[in-house]
Amino acid sequence: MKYFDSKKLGIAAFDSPPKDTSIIAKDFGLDRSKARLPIASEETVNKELFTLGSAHKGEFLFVILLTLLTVVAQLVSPRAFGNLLESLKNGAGAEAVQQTVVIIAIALFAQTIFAYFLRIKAAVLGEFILSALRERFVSRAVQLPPDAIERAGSGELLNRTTTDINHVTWAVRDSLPVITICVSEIIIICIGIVLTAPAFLAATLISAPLVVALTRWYLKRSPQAYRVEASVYSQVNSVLVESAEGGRTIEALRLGDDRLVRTRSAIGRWIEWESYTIRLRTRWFPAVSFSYIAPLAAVLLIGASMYQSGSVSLAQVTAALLYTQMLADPIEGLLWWIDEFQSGKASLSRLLGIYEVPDRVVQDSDPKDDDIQGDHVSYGYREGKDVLRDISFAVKPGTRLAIVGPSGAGKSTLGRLLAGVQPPRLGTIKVGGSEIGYLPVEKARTHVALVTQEHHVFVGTLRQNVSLAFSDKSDAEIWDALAAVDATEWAKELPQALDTEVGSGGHRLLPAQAQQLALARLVLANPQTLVLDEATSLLDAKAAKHLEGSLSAVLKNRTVIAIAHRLQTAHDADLIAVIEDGLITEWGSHQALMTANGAYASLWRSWRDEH
Amino acid sequence: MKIPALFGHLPLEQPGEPNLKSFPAFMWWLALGMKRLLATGIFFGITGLGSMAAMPGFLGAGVQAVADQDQSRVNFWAVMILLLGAVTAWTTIMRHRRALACFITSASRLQQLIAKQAKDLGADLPKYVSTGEVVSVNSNDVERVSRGFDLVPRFVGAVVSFFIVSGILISGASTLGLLVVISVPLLVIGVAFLIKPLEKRESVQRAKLSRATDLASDTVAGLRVLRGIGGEDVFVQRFKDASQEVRQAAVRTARVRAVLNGLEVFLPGLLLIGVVWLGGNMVANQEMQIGQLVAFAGYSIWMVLPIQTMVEFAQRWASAAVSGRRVLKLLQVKPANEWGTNNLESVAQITDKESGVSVKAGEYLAVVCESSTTADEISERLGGYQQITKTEINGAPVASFSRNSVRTKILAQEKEPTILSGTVATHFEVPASGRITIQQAIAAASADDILDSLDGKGLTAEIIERGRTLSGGQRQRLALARSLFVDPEVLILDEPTSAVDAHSEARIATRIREIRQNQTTVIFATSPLVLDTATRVSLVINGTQVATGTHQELLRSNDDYRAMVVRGE
Repeated sequence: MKYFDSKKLGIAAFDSPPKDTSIIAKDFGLDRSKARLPIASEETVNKELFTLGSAHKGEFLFVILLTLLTVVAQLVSPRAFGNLLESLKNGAGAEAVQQTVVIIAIALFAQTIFAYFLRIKAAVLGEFILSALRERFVSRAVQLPPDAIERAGSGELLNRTTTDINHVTWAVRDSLPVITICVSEIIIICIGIVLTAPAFLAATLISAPLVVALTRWYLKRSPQAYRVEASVYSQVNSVLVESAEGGRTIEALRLGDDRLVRTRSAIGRWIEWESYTIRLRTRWFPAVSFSYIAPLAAVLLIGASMYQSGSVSLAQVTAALLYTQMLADPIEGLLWWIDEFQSGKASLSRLLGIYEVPDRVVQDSDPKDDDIQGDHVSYGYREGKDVLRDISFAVKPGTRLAIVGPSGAGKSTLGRLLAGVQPPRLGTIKVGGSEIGYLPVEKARTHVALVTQEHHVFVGTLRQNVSLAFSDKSDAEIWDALAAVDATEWAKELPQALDTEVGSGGHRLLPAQAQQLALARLVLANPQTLVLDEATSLLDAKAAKHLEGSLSAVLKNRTVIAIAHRLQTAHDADLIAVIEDGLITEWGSHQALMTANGAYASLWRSWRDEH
Repeated sequence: MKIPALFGHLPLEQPGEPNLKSFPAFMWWLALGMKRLLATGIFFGITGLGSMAAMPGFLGAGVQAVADQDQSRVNFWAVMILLLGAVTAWTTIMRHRRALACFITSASRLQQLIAKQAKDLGADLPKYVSTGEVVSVNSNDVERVSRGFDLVPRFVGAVVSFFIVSGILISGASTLGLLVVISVPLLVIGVAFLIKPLEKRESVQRAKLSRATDLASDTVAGLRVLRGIGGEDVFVQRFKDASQEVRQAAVRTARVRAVLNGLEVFLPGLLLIGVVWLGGNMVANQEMQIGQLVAFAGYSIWMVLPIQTMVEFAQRWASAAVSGRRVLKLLQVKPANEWGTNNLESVAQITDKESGVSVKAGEYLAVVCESSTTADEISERLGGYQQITKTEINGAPVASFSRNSVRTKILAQEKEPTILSGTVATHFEVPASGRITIQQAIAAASADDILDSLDGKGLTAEIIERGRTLSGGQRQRLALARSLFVDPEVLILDEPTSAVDAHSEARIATRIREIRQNQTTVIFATSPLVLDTATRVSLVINGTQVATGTHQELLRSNDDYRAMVVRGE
């Protein structure tokens, strides 16, 4: 048994870190060429931030004012303390001490109160911006053209919905206020030093060039390295999730030891990334922490000589020293949070990226009836390889058409084109004279609806799951829809019938039940044409047959186009289209095809055992 | 990447045998596994925090030297400050590296232990513990326990430096020193009391955020449905409501946090005022020097740091204790060993006594059940996964053999096999006889088109999200190809083509028979295309075998059978 095998990992998130820290790690999350959805440019992000900010101009200015007040109050005590030392040195007594204490106390009260209101105001503002951002994102996501969703795959969009929204949340909630405060503090403390004696500023900033250079070096590498590190770490958990959930399969295939190797390999890869990031920190941290100290020595030396020459007082030296010391906190805060802030900005560019998804090309018109007409339709997913090749057909309203054929022949593709998910590459598919692939989505779906075997149970009650858009439907109508898909029995047995919470976290529905649910939605939506792509594939044969019977009773005058792997479905249809290798090879009723004695007939006979 | 020597030995080849007697014993076992890291980490913790603690004293001495206009002393203290800064910088990063190594040691070891436990429980895991529990222990609890170890070096450093500085303060000026030493812990602990309500509000806020995120991802996951049928507005409104709740909860949290932040400014400020008051008067009365006052002010501010570290340590270990017990509980689960030690050499016959279904060596048996549930039960029994007392192999109870030898001889593919993430090539990285190539297995399962649909990259193509993007039929064929590739002595297939189109099903059925020639195969199916290829068919009604014979025989002789398999009547 091998204990470490990086080949076992073989997917992008598992890439090794660069050989050494002179090389910058690639950030796969920000690779615009690989992203399946667009990523917004820096410019768009800044513009959006500006728009959001200017919508709350008043609050923004108030927050900045509070920040200034807080920091100015903070500057009082070092100066007062320095003055006290000066006067004590010159022989002052308890009175001077009392005076200083009063000044410091007033400054402290002011600082506390300003800081308190600053926190609250900043949070209120930040949360407003955040909720606006995420709500706008979701509102836009549900308006994406259907083919864009298909291309992106649910994973990519989901990732943006969860991970990126969270990143932006942390960035806005935690890092933005800290960064704002730190920057203001640094600026104002520097002003404080200049007001004390301008010469000290040079001493204070003595290590600034070093810190800036090293920090730039660090920041070029760190954000993506930490992001990758985090996702590599979570991969360790993904390996275990698979091991636990697939326990039955893993035991059957005797993959137990292999899973341990995978766990160990994933951990190994994570440690490699930890090694990369600790190397970054080993170079950067000590330099930064030394850079707080060096200025103290410099101020002391300059202060001593200036004090000796009489150009500054002891109070000024002390104040400059304390100010310089005070700088350490905001600098550290700034350096610490700027990482997070950058990562938040990267996430924001992914969130805003969905605004750049091209809209569906729309040519609006009103279909005059529900005749379906396909003319010379070709479509392919890759250049030079068409899945459908120049096919033509016509379907009259009320027809039940079954599409059969081997896997990969193009059946599902035809289903999607018929439902207007996208227009064909060449040729046209028209419903009532209008090209369905160019109608607005909202209009297209009132004519043709598509149910695939990919089912989804929404978090919510069973009622909400069936009604979706039609929340005004009565319980009776919902029960009728459920009856049409043979779901009455189990639906009645649910703990709270229609009010049972289903979906993730609620009552778990079986895949077959989820499929019935999908069909019930369709019954309620009641479009003229229904495209069912393996819509009953998860039910067992007997149940599927029964369901199709009850469904067809409800859908009497509707056009039903069923893509099915069960020949039973074909037998019961008015018309059958056999699709092989992107072409319609046979077309006609069951009887006609049997008489023609082609591929369909021979398949049917072997299925029925009529040798 | 060159791995630093500190954790170059990780991950361990084997996580070792932990002491699972009690929580303290378990933690002690973990700690012993990294004793050198902890010891050197503590050394750097003490030197690091100690050198930081010395800084106010050095600064005070520097200010005193300035005040005394003693240039050589000023120079001396300036150099000392620089040296001390260098020591702090170096020891701090050394401590940090060791703390990280402790974290990695603990986390990687615990994760390996949990993975091993999952392997030992195998298919029975859900009987003992929910997979959700395993996952949450692995992701959350492991990290919390390990964060506890990560803080040990800094904690010890904080404690030691706290006492050193206390000593300096009290010996320097007893009243003032005592004031600082007593009030600093009070301040920090007082602030810590606010942390509880803050955490409570934060957890409410997190729960609301995660609900909003769940709603958003639920909406996005069902987006195709919504775009196809409608209802976008309803779902967006639902999300907006949840999002506004998050906002309100976040603002409520911010109010408590603002108080906390305010106190964090105010209380040390009060202390400083006290020091200035008392110390200032002492200087005025010639009982103290200016430099000492500067140092005292510095110390009193600095003292907050070690106390905060101690509070943090207490909090981390409070949650590490809860998490550690959860890890321990998971590792303490011992699978009931129902299995014997006999080695299963070869399989002459397998019988499910409950239903009467039995298969002999070399047979290609098809089983027809009236419901999928019955088919699952019989196939799980035949494979030796459920109710194993009811199964016999070669006339002996299946449980008299070793589990490993049974799994080696018999492969029972369940109805919805897991597709593991990875590439197509890794999908086929399973122990196999070697008689059948991947290409042959893929061809037999009629799965060539899947390679095409996976970007056409062939074996290097990635199977995304455990095959969730594939259709049900594609997943079935991919899993079937894998089982055929393994080529076990006995192969049991539970409805392997239920979601496959009729064209492919007919092809697959013939190819399974060819590829499994002279080997034992049991296939649960209802399609005549499959049944016709079997050497014998067994009909199960009400959980019992009622008839057996070839497909054609049963078609002629049994009405129930005809009704069940021949559709279209």
